[in-house]
Amino acid sequence: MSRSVEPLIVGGVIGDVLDMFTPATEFTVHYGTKQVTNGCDIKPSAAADKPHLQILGPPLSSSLYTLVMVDPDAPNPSEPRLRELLHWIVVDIPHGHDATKGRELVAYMGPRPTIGIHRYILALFKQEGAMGGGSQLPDGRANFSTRQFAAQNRLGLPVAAVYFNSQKEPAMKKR
Amino acid sequence: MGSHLNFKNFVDAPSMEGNWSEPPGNFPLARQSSIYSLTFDELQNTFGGLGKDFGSMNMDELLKNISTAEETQAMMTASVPGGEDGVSGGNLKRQGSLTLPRTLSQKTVDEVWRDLMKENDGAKDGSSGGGANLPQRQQTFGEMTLEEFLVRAGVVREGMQQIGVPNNSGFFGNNSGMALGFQQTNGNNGFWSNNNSVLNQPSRSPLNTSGVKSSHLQQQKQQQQPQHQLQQPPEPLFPKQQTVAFAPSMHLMNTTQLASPGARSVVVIDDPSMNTKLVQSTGLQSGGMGIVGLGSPASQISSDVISKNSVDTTSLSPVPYVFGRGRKCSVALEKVVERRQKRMIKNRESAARSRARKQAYTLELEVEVAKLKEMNRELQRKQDEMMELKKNQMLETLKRPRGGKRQCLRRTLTGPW
Repeated sequence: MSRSVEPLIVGGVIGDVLDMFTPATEFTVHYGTKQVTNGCDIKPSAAADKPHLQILGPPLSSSLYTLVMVDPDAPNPSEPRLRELLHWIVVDIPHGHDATKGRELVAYMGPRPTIGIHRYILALFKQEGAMGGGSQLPDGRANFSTRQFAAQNRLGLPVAAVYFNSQKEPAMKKR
Repeated sequence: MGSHLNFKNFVDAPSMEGNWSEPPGNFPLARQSSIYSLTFDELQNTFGGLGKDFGSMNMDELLKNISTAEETQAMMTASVPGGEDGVSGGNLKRQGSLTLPRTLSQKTVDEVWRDLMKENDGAKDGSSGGGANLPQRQQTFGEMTLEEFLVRAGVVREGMQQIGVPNNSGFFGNNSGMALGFQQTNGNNGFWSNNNSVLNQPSRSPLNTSGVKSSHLQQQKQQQQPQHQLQQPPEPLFPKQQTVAFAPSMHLMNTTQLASPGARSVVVIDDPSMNTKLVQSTGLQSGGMGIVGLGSPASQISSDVISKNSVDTTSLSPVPYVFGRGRKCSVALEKVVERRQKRMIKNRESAARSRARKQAYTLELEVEVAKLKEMNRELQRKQDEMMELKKNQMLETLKRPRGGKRQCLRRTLTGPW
């Protein structure tokens, strides 16, 4: 399965945001009909609403998952002062189900790439147990640290991750 | 500084000076018929062959056109004694051919112009009195003389040294503009004025344009020297100024090159070697850094025509081009260099990110393709199996029932008779 991690390494996801990991779970992310594959391009308008997430595999296991979505290239890839910008946190997602079954800790915010081409990373962590009330909410969305969040909540290394690119859409053509 | 110079054709100067802080007086001697002193506009009008719009021309084409035009002109100015040594009149000397740095030639004139303008903004303040500050000049593309343009584009390298030297007013401000802002730091100013030749600024100098190498002044001197170079004690930095920092070249150059400060001095130096002769070799060399030639040797450089020295195609070194002879103080210069460097680094990073993005996407696609192929194979196999199974089942089912039926259909013999 290491082959599937290569795009994450080359794209800088592993390094900038996540640590090296071995994918243990598969999950799909769909914005409408479009499925998210590593490095694909998705317009901000298409990603305005939360995606449909599906953790594959038989819903036998009782493990719960946490999903974190961040933008490490905010506000500008060449000057990511706000790295990472937090977009979404969902906890307690049961295996085999989609994100709606989980608890949204941080509301979904669609991509807002003002300058340059931004990466948007969706990382899936396996929880040890149910996320208690102890999980502190981050203060603001800016300068979030996925690593730190994972450490604080004992999430360990991610079990899966995917990312897409997004850039500002050109303005409407003037008549 | 400028006082020495005669401003013969100063026609353009006033207009060019839009931003110049220097009084027009600084301009060098009358414009010789050097083609370099002509502004682009004039060039375009004058030389039909150059008819193409300069803006979209490639640097290469521009130079070619310039050489052709120069040749034509040279013939016209045959009256002026050419002689490398002691040429008092302005001679257009054409030496060698201008070779552009590879990077530069690929740009169009427009691009270089834009770069120059950008550079100009930064550099403007620097030039102070001393010779015409070329940087300020040329508000418009058309007004810029060829010289100026070439110098700034880094085709010609100027020695950077001593920007501060006031002398240079002589740039050659040329009336024509080409004056590649050479700043002649030394007292050379006077020189040019002596000869009208001014034109050339570029030629003046044996300063080679190869300033690029700046690091090796000596080298340059030697290179430039061939022709009329003034024989002056070689000074490592020929006082002339020239810090030529080319905006475009800056971009082109990699950071390492940027670091080579040596270049600055180089260019100018050639002049020292020049002795009173005209220098001319303008050394338009690629390498873009300023045309050193301006270095007007202390002695008079009589109009040296712009001689093109064989350019040494040394690596371009992003030496900041200082216009206006040495006016720019080193602090401002450093800022300019620094800014360019930063921009270059940023661009590189952006390019690297872009490449990584592309590669990541390709890798992902490969993984997907492999996965899908595998899935396809699996599914195909399964389907074949299923078909096989079904077929067998059907065959079996068919056999049994038939036999039974036949039996049933047999007629039995029964009857009363």
